[in-house]
Amino acid sequence: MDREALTAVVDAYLDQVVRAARGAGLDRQQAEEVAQNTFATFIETAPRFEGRSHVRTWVFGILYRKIQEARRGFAKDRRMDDIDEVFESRFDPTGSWSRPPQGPDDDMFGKEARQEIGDCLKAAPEQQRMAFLFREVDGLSTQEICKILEVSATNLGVMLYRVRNRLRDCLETKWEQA
Amino acid sequence: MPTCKEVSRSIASDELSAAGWRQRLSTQIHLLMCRHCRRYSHQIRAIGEAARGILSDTTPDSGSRERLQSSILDQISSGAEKDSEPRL
Repeated sequence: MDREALTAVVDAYLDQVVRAARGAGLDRQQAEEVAQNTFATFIETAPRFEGRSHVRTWVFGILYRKIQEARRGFAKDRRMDDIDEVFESRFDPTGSWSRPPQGPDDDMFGKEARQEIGDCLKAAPEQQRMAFLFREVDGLSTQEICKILEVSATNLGVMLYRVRNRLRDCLETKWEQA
Repeated sequence: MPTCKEVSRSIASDELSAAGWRQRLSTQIHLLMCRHCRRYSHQIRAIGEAARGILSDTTPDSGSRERLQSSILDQISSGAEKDSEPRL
């Protein structure tokens, strides 16, 4: 990749990279640092990039590892997850709701979700949170997210199901306490 | 007909987009009939929208974007200089 191409990549993805780092729970300064490191690695490794994947997948893959590096004590996602039990407990043995979803009406729920979701996101495990943000905020495809996080499509489905239930549960708890 | 548990699981895991028409149709029918699953589905969608909403505020402002971009682009220049150094 020549200089012009590198510059174009930085220009095209800088905002998205900073936003994703903020979404991962880093503050402004940390996010900018991570963005710098991400592009430094990107520039360094660009000669090895042979168009095997979309350039965005490459950039986000680097970003994801930089965020992991930036946060010490990152624990790999547990195979068993306590949210599974929380989800199961909402249904009776026939698979119908025994404790249906609670919360204000649809419009109100959206408003309250915007106020509270930041806190709930912070509490979610790293890999699940990134899967959720790549899907919902960056709108990446399943294939792309799987490459970035190095997981199978089935794994990604489980992660999304866990993180969304976790966020929903977190909002529901906040609403019940209010 | 899928159960509530199956419907909510397939919604939260994005499984439906890859599912066949039979599963999609039976899920739609279930949703028409079941207000709890409908509410669950609305809430899952609202959560995605809420995340998009709060993160649109974290785009760097033009000042810090310019500063950040120029320091990254400096790396490109210094990298290019290194490459052009004659090898001994």
